[in-house]
Amino acid sequence: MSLNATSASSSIFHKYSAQELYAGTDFSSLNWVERQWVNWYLLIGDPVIATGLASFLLHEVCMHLTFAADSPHRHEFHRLSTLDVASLGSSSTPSLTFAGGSFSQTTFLQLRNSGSARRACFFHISPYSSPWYAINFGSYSSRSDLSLEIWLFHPIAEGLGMSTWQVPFPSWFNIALQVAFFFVYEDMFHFFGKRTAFLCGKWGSPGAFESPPIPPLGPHVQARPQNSPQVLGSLRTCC
Amino acid sequence: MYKHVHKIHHKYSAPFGLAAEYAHPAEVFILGAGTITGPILYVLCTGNFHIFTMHIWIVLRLFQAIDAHSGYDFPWSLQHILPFWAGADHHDFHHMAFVNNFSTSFRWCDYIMGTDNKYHDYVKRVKAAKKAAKSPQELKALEKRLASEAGAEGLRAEAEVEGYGKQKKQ
Repeated sequence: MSLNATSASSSIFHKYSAQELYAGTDFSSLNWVERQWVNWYLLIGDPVIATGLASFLLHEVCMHLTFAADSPHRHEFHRLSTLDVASLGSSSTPSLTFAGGSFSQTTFLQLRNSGSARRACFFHISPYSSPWYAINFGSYSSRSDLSLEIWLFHPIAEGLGMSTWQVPFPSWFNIALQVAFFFVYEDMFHFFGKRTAFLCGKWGSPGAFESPPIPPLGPHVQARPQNSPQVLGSLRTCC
Repeated sequence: MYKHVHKIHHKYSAPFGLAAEYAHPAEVFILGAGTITGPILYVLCTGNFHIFTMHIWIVLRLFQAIDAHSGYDFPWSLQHILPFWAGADHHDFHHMAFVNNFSTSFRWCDYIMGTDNKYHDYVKRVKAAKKAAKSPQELKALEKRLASEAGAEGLRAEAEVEGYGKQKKQ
């Protein structure tokens, strides 16, 4: 440690100290969250890892909280209690039925039972459509994307001009204002994005908005040329 | 576009919380761009932004996604306090009927652009069914029928959009 403290700050083994990161900071003026923030950066000792790891852990914890909240079994129970299992028309639906609580029945919105088993019931059709598939897919994609993010997040954030290890934080009012702006911006981004994708599907193909194909000529039309040979002849020359 | 990308997310027409995370990488990229370009644009314009705000934003955004995809419309859900908040009720219809309710957090975009007409029809019909139904069983059957009608309409629209891609290839 003493070696690290005296070595050049460019070394990757260098552990940043409070004097280096927080020189001139009055710790007594910080609130609890800001003090934890300082502790985190000093514990890790390297702002790059600290920022990246914090971002990664935040995402993982949120994801796994989501997993816990959305245990497939809980969804099976609710789905079975709200849908008439026999009417799903799938031989692979379990014969188990659960007496659903009245509360879940009144609050659960997804009372759909269309003709398609795929839409009516997403579990027990195939392993591909089971919730576990989504869980594996989700954790796989998060791991493959976010391991990169751990290392790149801090340099990118600093490059863009964000504060990372610095304290104090912006005021809560400013944070709320900024987050509100992000919500509004993202909402519009997604709205116009999805709308454009939908309309591209609609307009992107030739003939999507043209009138439907003209049906084959009926017998009364086909009979006309036989009655008038001149018309038939002119049709033959022009086609 | 829809067939190969957004459809993966729509595989769960009855979405649950995790479906929010379950999407095509390209979609994660495009829709994720909406999530991160906000802070990026903000910091580029003002130069005054702390990554802690970003963390708050991501956590709230995740709660929003879980709420919208959970399928639960609780009496204490945010949409009952903020009438312009979308919530599960709104986004569920996007998954069910496919052609409506394109926005994420708020109701105003769809309201202004008129892309929530089918959703409002559906809500109206469910309300009427609640009045007309004499027993809880009858109400349940009526709600189920309305939902399956809206779902069938969504399937038709979905097949239509997928069909455009096929036409294009021919």
